[in-house]
Amino acid sequence: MFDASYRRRIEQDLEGWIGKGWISQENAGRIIADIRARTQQKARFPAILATVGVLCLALAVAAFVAANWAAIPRPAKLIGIVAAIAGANAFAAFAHARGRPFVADLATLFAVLVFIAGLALVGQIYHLPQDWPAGAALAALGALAAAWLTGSRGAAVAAAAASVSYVLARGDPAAFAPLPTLFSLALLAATALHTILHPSRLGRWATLLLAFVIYLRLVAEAGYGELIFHEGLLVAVAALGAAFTGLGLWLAGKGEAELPTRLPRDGLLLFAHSLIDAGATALVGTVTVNLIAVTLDGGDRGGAGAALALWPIGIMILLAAGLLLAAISSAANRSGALFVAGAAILSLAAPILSDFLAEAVILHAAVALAAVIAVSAAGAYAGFPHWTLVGHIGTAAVALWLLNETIGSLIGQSLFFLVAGLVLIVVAIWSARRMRASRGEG
Amino acid sequence: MGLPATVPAWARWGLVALIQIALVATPLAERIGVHLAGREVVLAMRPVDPRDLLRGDYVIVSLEIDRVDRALAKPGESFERGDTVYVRLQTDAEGVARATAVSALPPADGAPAIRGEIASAGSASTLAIDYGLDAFYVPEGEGRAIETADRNKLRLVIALTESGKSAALRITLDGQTVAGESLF
Repeated sequence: MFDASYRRRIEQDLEGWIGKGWISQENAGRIIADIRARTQQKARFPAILATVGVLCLALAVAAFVAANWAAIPRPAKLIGIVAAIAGANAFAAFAHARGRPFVADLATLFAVLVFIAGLALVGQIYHLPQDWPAGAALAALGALAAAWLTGSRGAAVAAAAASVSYVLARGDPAAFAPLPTLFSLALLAATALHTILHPSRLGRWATLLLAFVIYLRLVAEAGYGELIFHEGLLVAVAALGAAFTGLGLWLAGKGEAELPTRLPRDGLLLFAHSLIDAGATALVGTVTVNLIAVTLDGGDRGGAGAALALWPIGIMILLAAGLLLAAISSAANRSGALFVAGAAILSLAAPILSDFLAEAVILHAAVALAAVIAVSAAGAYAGFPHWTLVGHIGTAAVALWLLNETIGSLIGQSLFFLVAGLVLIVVAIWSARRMRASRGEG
Repeated sequence: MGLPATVPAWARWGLVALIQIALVATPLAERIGVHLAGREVVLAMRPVDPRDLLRGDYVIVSLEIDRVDRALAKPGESFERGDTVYVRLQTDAEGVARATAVSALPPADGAPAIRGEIASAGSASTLAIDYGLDAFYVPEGEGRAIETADRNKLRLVIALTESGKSAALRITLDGQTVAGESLF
């Protein structure tokens, strides 16, 4: 199942290739037919309106519950909720049987949201605690049941959101809690697997957000007693970003013949690309925030390397290193994978270096600028447009921040940018010559 | 993966509806059980008035027994954050239940005790305990009246089972119900 944007790009490219004589009209037609068969066929504008409409209806139910309107007896509200759950699911079944899968998906999503409103109603009637992990867990389970039994993408997104709520609702992290952590990981596995089997962009990003939240929870539990969670946060996020990148690169590089599972190739590749994109976002975000923090805080940070002592961060760094190595060794475009891995490692190094050398502000400025430029360049080289975009945004943010904050003296700052500019131009000229040489050899 | 494609649509979505209704019924049944099996106990409280996104206006319930003197624990008994404890209650002359002892186990003599979890054991003199009674939902706009009432006269009436489980029933002011009703 491909994104519609991929289908449009392929169709445009095929026209050009036919014009150049690289591919026959007949073969192009076969390719287009195959892609269209695997792309969700729905008109996007009406679909978006319908989705927002369903969300509004669900919000209407939620607000009605929240109003706690005394004019309607609570038994009537409970019966109404049950009837709405049953009715929405019945309508979804009817739509599916009539060959309207998108309508069925929307109706299933509505049923899930009404179900969550039903849980909220029970909480309201019986004055259950405000932060109620059990309620979030029940919501996640109900949404997952709908997602897995019906294939609903909307229900899967709701399940991921409810799972995020569960992790956050567990309250202040005092110590590692094995059972709730295992439960969280089970929720993550269930949502991730669903988004691979029934691909949706929103589902993938919701799943990655859940992974992010679970990981940060583990870091918080590991660092609670030491009170170094804040210093460790940037290293933690950068390590996760590098691991996402490594996992995505490795999955994308595997190819159909080598996939060890019966999972659909399309869904797995789309998930791999979302991992790669999320990795870039996390890496550039931490590099930028780290530079701001190090120029403002200076030496006011916790014990050097304290973050690396937190076991979730240590494990994530090792995982990232292993995955990046595996990705490089198995990639078809090895130089591209190497470039991306290098950019990821440089971005991860930025917050780690600032942990050990808090006072070396000029070094951190150089590393930050090099990292965001590396991300941007790696995206262009390896063909990851999100990396290029995020890298450009990061470069602009870092450059503007360095202009805003005088690093050392103004003369020193002028020299810094002069050197940076010259280095970049030299690297660009060298890269262009290498590419021309490799195309000539090919 | 998931159900085979040959399973009819009505069976798939029917099963989903049953699961979701059962999940809504689970906390409902548990709470009804506490209401039916528990006896009424009156607790002193201090309120604040915010809003919950999904469940509407509610009064934050801050109970007198949320903070318990460490001296009420047995000598040598220590508590950590997250430990389950039982606070023994005794009704005073005003009819309000006050904490008289705290222990990791319920009272052996069957005296009324409310079950809670240590929220904070950092203070040298008191234990902060969470009983799951921190919110009381009221119709939209009615929380403010409770919040501005004389705090010394506000009481939270709960249902308390023999096992220590509790459920909020109503809030009273000078003995008159100002919020909440019983089962539904």
